[in-house]
Amino acid sequence: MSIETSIYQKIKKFILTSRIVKILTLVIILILSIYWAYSQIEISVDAFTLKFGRSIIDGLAYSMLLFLMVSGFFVIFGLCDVINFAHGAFFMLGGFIGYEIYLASEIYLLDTAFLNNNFFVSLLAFFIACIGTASILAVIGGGIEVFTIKKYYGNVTSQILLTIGFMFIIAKLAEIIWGAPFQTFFLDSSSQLNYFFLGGVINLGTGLVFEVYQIFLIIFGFLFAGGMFLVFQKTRVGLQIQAGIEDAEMVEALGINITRLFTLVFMVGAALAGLAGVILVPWLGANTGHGTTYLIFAFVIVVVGGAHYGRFEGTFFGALIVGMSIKFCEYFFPDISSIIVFIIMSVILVFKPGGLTGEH
Amino acid sequence: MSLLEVNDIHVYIQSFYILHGVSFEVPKGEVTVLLGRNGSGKTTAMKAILGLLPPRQGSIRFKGDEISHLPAHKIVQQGIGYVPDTRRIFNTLTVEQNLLVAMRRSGTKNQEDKFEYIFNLFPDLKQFWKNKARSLSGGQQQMLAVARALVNENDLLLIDEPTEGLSPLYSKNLLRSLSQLKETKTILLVEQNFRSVTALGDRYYIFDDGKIVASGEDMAKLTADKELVSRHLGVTTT
Repeated sequence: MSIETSIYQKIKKFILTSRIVKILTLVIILILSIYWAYSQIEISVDAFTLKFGRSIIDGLAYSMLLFLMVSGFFVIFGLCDVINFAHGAFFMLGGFIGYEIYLASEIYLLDTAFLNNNFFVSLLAFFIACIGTASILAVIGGGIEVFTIKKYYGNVTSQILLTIGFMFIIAKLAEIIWGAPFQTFFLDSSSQLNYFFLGGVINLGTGLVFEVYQIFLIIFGFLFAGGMFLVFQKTRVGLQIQAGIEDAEMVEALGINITRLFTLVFMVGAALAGLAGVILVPWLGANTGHGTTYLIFAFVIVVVGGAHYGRFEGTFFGALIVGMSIKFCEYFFPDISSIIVFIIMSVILVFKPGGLTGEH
Repeated sequence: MSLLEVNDIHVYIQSFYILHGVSFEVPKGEVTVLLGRNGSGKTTAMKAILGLLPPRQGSIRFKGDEISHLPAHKIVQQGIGYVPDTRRIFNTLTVEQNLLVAMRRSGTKNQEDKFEYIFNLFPDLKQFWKNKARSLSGGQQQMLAVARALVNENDLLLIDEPTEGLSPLYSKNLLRSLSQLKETKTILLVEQNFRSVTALGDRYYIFDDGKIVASGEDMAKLTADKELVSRHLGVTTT
């Protein structure tokens, strides 16, 4: 090999593998797309900055919501190798169960009259709704795994048909109870209190106004991601799940009850879907059509983050990319906002078939 | 009474009939070696003991108790450590995390003692303690796979082709570590290369086509039969 070829190979390797080059490329793409967005619309710099700021906050809040929903889908897919088509339905159902529990708790708390402060009534009702919904969904998810899916591990076709079946059954039952998807249920219009503890806005002046709940979502999302990271890195069960994602049989051969771990993961996955569903309600309401819409996002995020042997961090960044790009496009290029995630997914699949953290 | 008694087991992988009535024993404190060519059924026998491929017929007794009907994790919990043939370490975890996953008993004191024991046996692992397992060399990954079976108080170690794919130097080091283990552990070893385990084994079983075709305690006597060596171990001797 000549010296020139060797240097060329080294430079090529550096460009293809260096983290600095990757980050720089990402930054350049971001700057170019912002500049392009600005050049496409005829508004002043101030108006553009305002719109851009809002898109960032909206995007971050939306990303965190998606991350919460998808993290359950990821652990079920990663460890149990089950593509849970019913995950979107769990999410939708979580929204309605949370909505009902919130309203019921509110009435109960108002009746008992030991709390006469609207803030605390609303806070407690929301907390009860979150815990209650997550518990109910954990039982539903665990039940579905124990009584049906457990029999079909390794049989992908049966698993898909089974989870699609549950998706339709849950969606239909929800439609029978709460009506067709054209109606969205919001807390503030149904609440007796007519008050939500995280309602209201933060006004930063010059028209830059953010909803308090969005800021809560962003903080909650980052804390949740940090918490999940710690669980995966520092706890025995987290390590077992990560190891199981790589090689479930070997985990069993180390004396760990993988069957019980699968059920636990199913319960946690469904509980997270339910929790995400409740958390969506104060912002975007509960709707029987949410299941299908968000299931598609779950697929895209898991593929972008790295499905096969992928890492949890991949799902976090996948959710950030999907959530931010949807909201960015809604503000600047509404025509493509519904397809942008599929464009991104296609590009990532072409250049990195295993997703951000997975293996091909 | 032997620590492990395998009696007339018949094992299938899906519809393929792999082990045709295999019987052998692993006495306590000894190294028992299963020899044979690729595909002769040695690894299947190990997986049958572990419950990963439960036998359709026959019995497996460990410490006097029948274990063939138990799920894999229950069998392992009775005191069996497993080192698989392709290492199967967890690449995305660090060296430390690989060992923590395997550790069945919690408690800081127990952890520290075990880790110290492993560092003495495999000093390389201490150096790469916080590194991802995928960044280790083949030999170091094999050490990690063996160490993973040593973090628990196991009575029996099942070690499947430990020297496969290793450089001669690493093979030598690893075999030296296994000889050290021999003093305190009972080992069932699977190996293709009979020469590498001559000094290690106390008794040998030769597998071919899912059956045991020869067995004995003296390797020299076993391998004196040139036809047996050439036909069942795939080695031509001159």
